Formats: sequence, C-alpha cells, structure tokens
Amino acid sequence: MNLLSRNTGLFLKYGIYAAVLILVAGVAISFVDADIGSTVSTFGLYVLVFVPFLSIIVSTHALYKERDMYWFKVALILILITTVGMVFAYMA
Amino acid sequence: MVGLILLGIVAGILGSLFGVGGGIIYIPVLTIMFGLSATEAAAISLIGIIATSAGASAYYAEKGVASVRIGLYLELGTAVGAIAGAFLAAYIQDWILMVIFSLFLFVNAGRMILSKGRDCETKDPESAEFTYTDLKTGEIHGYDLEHKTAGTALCVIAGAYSSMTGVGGGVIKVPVMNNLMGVPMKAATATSSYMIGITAFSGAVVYLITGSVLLDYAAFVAIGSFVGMIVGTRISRMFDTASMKKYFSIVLIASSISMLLKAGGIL
Repeated sequence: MNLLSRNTGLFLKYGIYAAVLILVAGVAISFVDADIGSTVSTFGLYVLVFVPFLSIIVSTHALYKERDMYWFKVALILILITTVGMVFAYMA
Repeated sequence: MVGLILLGIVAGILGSLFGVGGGIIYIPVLTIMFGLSATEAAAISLIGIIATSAGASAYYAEKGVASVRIGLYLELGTAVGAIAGAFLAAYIQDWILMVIFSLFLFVNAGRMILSKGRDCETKDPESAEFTYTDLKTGEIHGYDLEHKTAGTALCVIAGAYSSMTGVGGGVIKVPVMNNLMGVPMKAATATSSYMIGITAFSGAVVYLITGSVLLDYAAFVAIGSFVGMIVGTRISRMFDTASMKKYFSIVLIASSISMLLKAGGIL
C-alpha cells in the first residue's frame, strides 16, 4: 500500500472517531451544563465537517513526499478552491 | 433526540450497505416527519453524510480500492459545484428543491433496478495509469482514465446537486466514473464514497458558516450515522445487496412520491 492511500485512510478513520467522541462528550455534558455541552458539541461538529478537508491536506503532503508533482498540484488547487468557498461563505 | 439518532443509524446502515451517503433517507424523513425546511434538512443531511462516508472511505482508501488521486481530480469540479449550489439553495424556494430531490430519488430507484454498470477492461497493473485491489480475490487490476475533462465538468453538476438537495451525489459520480471514464465499478463506487465526504464538506461548511445548521439536530444525526456506518460495514457481507437493491428502490419510489406530495402542500 502506498503512502497516499495509507495516510489518507488513517487520517479519515481517526479524524472521524475523534469528532464523534467530542460530539458524544458534548451531548453528555449538556445534561449537566447546557451551555458548555452545546459549545463542545458545536466544536465536535466543526471537527467532523473539517475532517474531509484536512484529509486533502494530508493527501497533499503524502503526494509531495512521493514526489508526485502533477497530483500534488491538483491537490493544492483543490485546497485553494475549497478555501475560497469558505471565504465567500464567511463574507456572505 | 432518540428519533434523530435512530434516523442516523438507519441511514448509516443503509448507506454502508448500498454505497450511498444516506441523504436519500435523511431528506424525506427530516422534511416530512420532522417538519424541517428543505434547506435545513440539506444542511443536516450533509453533516450526516460526512460521518457515514468518511468512515467507509477510510477503509476503501487504506485497502487500495478507492483512488485518492481520481477523487482529488474530480473534486476540482465537484467542489466548485457544491459551493455554488449551497449559495443558490438560499434563493431557491423550498418546493422547487423538494421537486428536484423527488426526481433524484426516482432516477436513483430506476438506476438501482435497471443499471448493471459498464464492464470496464482492466489492464496489467504495471502499465496502467491507476490500480485497484479486488477485496474478494486480493488481485490488483489496472485501468486507464478516459474523458477526464468531460467527467470533471459533469462532476460540477453533481456537486451543485449535492449541496442543494443534501445528498452525496454518488448517483451521478458513479455512472460518470464507470460509464464515461472507464473506472471499474468496484473502484468507482469506493472512489465515490471517498469523494462524497469532500463534496459534503464543501456544502456543509457554507451552511455552517452562514448559520443555517440546526446544531442539536446535526449532532444527534451525526452520532447515529457513525454508529450506523460501523454496523453497516460489519453486516454488509451477510447480505446479498444486489437483490436488496430492488426492494430498496421501492422505498425510494415511495419517498419520491411523498416528497412530491409535500412539495404540493398535500402532505
């Protein structure tokens, strides 16, 4: 298995596990303190949503280490497109 | 709360079994049973889809079935479409989104019944552009990519459709990869699973930043979806999913009719 597949797969797996753990913690805390629980859950949602985007960064790094420059540039352009989308959303 | 978690579990299981993101379950249930608007439902659905697809795609990426390179390339178009679609959804009336989604369900049902996919030629992995591992036999097959530009252009449509209606877009991406671009069906399905997470992110992040997500709903659906994905991937080998698809398509047709009735104000 190459570095790209392994690193991307591992990051997706552990990223999702981490996000869901934070979400569950947030829901549990909300039974004791609703405000703190809501804050933790919201953070967990952001972690969950950003896992795929961060996996692109992990993939980009792996492509660079493999010296696969064509696909490295493809991944960089994708990061740029999604970042521009986030900026537009923030400005809207 | 319990209802939302159960919804997530069911969508996660069915998503893992049938290789879909789960939006075809989320949207009808959230709009018809929970009374959410189409836009609110789309935002929550995209978050649930991320929980389902990221887990499944992690497995396929690690095993070398999904092509991360092809996924990244096609996402250039899909991400553009998804971002545009998320902004457009705010200006399109709810009933129009419901009609669009209803048509999508109908097409998806037809595809499940009728389509067997293209039997793509595979090559010697040493000379091929891309490879994938057949998990059943352990063999590595090679294939080349065809019609890259046209495939990327069609993925723009898939991305827009995904973020407007809250689905993963696999019903467009898999035929594009398999029928048009020459990707073997198993690799196309696995790569689509990987792409769905990125596409859903492109739409979900816009909804999150613009404050369009009902955070409590999304949290419970995401937790349920993750549990459903774990269960679905474990039990998928016990079922003959090919024959189950025909029965699942009946559910999709019923959902399509329900969505049309809801759009018309009858439900």
